[in-house]
Amino acid sequence: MIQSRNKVIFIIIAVVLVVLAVADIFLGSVSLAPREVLGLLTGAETDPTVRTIVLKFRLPKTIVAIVAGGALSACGLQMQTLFRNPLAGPFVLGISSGASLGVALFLLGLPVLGAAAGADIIRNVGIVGSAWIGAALVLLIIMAVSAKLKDIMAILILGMMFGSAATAIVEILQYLSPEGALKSFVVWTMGSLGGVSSRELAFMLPACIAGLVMSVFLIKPLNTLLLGENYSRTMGMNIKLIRGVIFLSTILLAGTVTAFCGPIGFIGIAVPHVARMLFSEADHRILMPASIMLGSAVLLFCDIVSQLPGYDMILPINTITALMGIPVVVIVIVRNRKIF
Amino acid sequence: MKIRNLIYISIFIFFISCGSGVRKTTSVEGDTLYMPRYASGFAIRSAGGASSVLTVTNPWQGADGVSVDLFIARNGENPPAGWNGATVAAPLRKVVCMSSSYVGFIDELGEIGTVRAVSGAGFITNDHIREGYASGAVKDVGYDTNVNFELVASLQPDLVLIYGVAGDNQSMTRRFDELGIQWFYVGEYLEQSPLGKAEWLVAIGELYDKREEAEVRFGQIESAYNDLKDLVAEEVSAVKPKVMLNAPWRDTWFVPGDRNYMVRLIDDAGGDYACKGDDSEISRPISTEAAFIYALDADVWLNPGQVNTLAEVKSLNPRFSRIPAVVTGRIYNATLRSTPDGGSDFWESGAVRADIVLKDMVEIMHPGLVPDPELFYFRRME
Repeated sequence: MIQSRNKVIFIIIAVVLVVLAVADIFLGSVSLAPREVLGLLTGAETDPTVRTIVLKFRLPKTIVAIVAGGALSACGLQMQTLFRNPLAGPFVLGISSGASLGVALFLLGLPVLGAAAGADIIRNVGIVGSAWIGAALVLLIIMAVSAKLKDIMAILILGMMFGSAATAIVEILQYLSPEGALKSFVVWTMGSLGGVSSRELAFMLPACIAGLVMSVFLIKPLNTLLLGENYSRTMGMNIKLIRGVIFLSTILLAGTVTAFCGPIGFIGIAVPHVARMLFSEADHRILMPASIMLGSAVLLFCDIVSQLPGYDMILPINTITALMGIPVVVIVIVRNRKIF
Repeated sequence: MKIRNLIYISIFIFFISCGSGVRKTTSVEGDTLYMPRYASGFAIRSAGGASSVLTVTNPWQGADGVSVDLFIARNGENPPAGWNGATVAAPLRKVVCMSSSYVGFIDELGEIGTVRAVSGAGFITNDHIREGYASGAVKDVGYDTNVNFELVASLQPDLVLIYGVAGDNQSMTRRFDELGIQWFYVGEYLEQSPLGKAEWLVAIGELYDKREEAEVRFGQIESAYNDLKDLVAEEVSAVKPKVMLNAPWRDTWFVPGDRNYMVRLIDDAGGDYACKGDDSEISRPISTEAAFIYALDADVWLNPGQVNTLAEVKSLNPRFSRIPAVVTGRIYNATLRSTPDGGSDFWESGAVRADIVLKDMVEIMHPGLVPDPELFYFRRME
């Protein structure tokens, strides 16, 4: 009975996901005739302008929304289970800020290094690498502290403090940096999906997929972790190894998305809760795929809204994810105080 | 009863303290000494005797019906009783410039030696200021919310030339008032007409007792500009090069409205602005895909951001590699005269030298139309 209910919900989510993905390709600032877009997707002769808009602008953006949404949500779910904290997430724990700091140091330091912005590969590898290092450092500190402190609130507050510290250092760097480098960073901090070029996508996609594959392998260990670390240990689980895999997967997911899209808030924290509310389950065999699919769908929806279809203007994606995510977080705090 | 009174008093004090930072001044009825032909933001009147009053109207974006007066005293004359606006004695000897364009105006008047401090020295291209900053003779007072008021006070300037971006710059003006430092708004950056910007030379000239000299100088710039504009109008046929402006920031592209300064320059230089359609002077964020449609047949691309080579433009904007401007390499950045920190003389002396700016633009739009092909502010991305 419950299983069939879950199946129905999964099918509905899948349908919504596909509809939103298609809508994201069809809708945008530039109004395109649906027939032309369809023709293009079926391989018919089309206007080169329509071709460029769909293949170079909208398709990469749609893929980025699907991947980033799924990645951030999977990451949030892992963090919530690992830290046994409903308010954990890559953004809240300062992991995104750590990645930001890494990218800031790299982008602002780029002119000093003398590397030309023209060297695409160096730039992309540098951005991803520095985001990973930044995310890893913050996560390491938080994991180390959480091993000593069992207090859930303390870890959350520490995460916020690290995040604020990283942001403060970024602000100092901005204040001291030349205008050009500064601008590219300020825009980066606003978050964006459409800024990812196909060449960058070639970096982003494999890293995120690797992280997601790890998340899928983590489903069983995460279920065991829900029962407590001591219990897991008695079940014969190699806690160190599992923590290591969670660590790697989180860095790949949160670090990579932050590197290419900027810090996107509230998806990671809110979506796992939406999945819990929909399925009334704590089983990661349900929650992990549900969070990934829902995350993709939510970010697609946010992207469609931020594009304001039919208008020239666009809104920063971060503002939309915040407005969508904050009510969920509020509901979680007010209603579901005892999930763990 | 007492508590209620306290509340009333608090509210009263609150409203007083929230009052505008712009001081009301007793009006001075005098003959108009200079009424600008292109600028809309200032006027100079006689205050009787040798003194004059410089009035600046709506000195910040969105200001409506605001005017600020400055009493420019000469021969030891005093402002009329009840005057509580700023008062300075002309000619100025020590000035602090909060915007780089003011440096351009003052240099044009041959008074660059009076500039004792600037805001953001790294962004100033003027040699005198750069050398002065290196030797310590010219200070950097910081910018925005990080102005070093102590430093400003220690310099004892005759006047601080400030700007208001959105709303009156109270965080600055209040502190200056407390420290007894005279300040004045220069609204030059709000002028969208290139000659209107340049005409502020006369207002600055008044502060240095050089109004007539400034009028003559502005007259030369004006006729050079208008001659060039007329030449373009005569020579350029219906087919005008289409011009794209600015660069995308990730997936957002800020494009100015049709009444903007840059768009006016493009029009006067015989170009056709690609993103026409918004009748305002402010910039709006459009999506890159909308920008792509505008840029599809752009022949020229101006100010593509912090790039120095054509290869960088292509690498940062791979989706725009097939637009005509990129294919033919007609991409120009106003960085020929710039500082390592990213300051450009285009926004400094370019404000007053509208004629040179236009000449550059004409050469870019219609190569060969002007005899001297050398660019002054713009550099072609090679």
